[in-house]
Amino acid sequence: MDLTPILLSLKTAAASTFITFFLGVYAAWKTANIKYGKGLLDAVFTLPMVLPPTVIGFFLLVFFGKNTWLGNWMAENGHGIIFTWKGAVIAAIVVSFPLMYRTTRSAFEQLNPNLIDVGRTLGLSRTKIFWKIVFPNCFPGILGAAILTFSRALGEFGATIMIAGNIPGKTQTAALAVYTAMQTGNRELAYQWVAVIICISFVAMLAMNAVNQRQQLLIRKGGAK
Amino acid sequence: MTLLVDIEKKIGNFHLKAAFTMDHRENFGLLGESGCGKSMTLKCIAGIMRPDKGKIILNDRVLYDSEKKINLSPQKRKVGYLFQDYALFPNMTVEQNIAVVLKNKNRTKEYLEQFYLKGLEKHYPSMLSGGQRQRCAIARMMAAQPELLLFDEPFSAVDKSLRWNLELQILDILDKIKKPVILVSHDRDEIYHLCDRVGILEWGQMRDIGTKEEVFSHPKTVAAARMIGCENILPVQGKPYAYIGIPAHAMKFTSDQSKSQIKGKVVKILKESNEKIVIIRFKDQNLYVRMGKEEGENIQIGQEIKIAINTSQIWELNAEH
Repeated sequence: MDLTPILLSLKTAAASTFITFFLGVYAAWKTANIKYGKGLLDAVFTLPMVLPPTVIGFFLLVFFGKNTWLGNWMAENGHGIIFTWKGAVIAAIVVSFPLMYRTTRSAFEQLNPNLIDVGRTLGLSRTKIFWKIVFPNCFPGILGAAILTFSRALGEFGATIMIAGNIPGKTQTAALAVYTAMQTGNRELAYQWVAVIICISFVAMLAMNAVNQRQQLLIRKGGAK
Repeated sequence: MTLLVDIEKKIGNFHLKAAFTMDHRENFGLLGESGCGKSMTLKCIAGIMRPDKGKIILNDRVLYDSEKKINLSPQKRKVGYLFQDYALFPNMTVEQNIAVVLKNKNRTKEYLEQFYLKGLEKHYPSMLSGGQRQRCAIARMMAAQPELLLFDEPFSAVDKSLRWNLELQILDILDKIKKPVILVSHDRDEIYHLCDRVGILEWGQMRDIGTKEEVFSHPKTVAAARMIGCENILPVQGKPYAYIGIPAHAMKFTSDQSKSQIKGKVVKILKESNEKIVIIRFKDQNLYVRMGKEEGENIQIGQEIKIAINTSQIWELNAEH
């Protein structure tokens, strides 16, 4: 069995999770702290979760295609992402971002707001409050969000096949390999990929439950409202 | 030390109008039922909440002034806030909780010593008792060098049986740190034990303000009488005041024929651990009379008894000041 698809999957998921982690945490912290337009912003950030992945793929193709200024510029400078591994990463980022954002935000919202207020009366800056108080007390929740994001990125199919294609050895991830194996009638290979994907995802969910329990423990210790 | 607070804030149909001043270092108590706006007042002073209008001036520094559009951030106000749940950072040890506030981390030790926290340096807040948590929160607050301290129901998270001890400890600490304090509570004993002056807050409105002796022995409003524990508040007509208040302990069961005595039928007897409250029916009103355990031992429900009232403890009350 050629291991390239699963290696590609892991590589794509790791790269996209790394980026989504920062984007999601930042978006969650910003939306948790704004007064107006929270609902609207939240809807925009959550949209990719409910849209069909094909719609996302379509938008990405339009956005990064040669008909836009950005797509044109990228293609001309050798950074084109259509039918490349980078495209797969971008598809995974967009599709998994809502999970990172929402789960992180709910961790922030569970935090006792008095901890932030007391930090302000103690003269701690916003940055210090975030890094010394909010982030550590929400860390298990944020880690759980990252695991969920990673798992989602690992299973990404629809948007990936539209923007990155299904090129063996280049953009064919494990999820796409299952599809190809079925299409070509190679049931045995399909079974193997299915088993591999289920194993990885299952372990990820177990890990997520473990960190969730840690978050609950932290909350009981006085971190919650 | 001077503080001037004169603020208004509206939330829905709740309208907070708090105004008071402090002109020297003292402990000022705000007494009121839950939901009357006590905590909101403190939050406005600390800058966690923003009033709709008014001003807050602390030691000639304008913290908030709606007309001049000044609203200092909580970081710049130098006002310490002791939360009901103490809000210790659960991810930090006692030592770290204090050190995070200090620019010079070497001073952590001083605060640990001053607030009897030695030996607990490496403990996390979840491992501390209520009293220890409170001391840790006060130590952390003092590390930020505040000019004014705000205590929000400081004993509500502590068992009632332990409160008394903690109150003594806090008194000791307050004597030591010599900072003006505003303490908010719904517990009259707590306020009486710890404060010099008291303000009564009723549904967002300030009622009586004065020394604790004044307010507790001569309340002028119904809200004040109720908050200091006056059991009998009766409407009267044709007087410059609308109600009279008679505390249950100002009435005595009597058998002699003194002047101010009333007769009533016993409706109910409520036994407490050291006293009892006898409820008697007098002119379509229930009167609550507090008696010692042994006093009037033979009183039965349905019996008609005579009650003497200590007239110096009849208060003339109005709804508003």
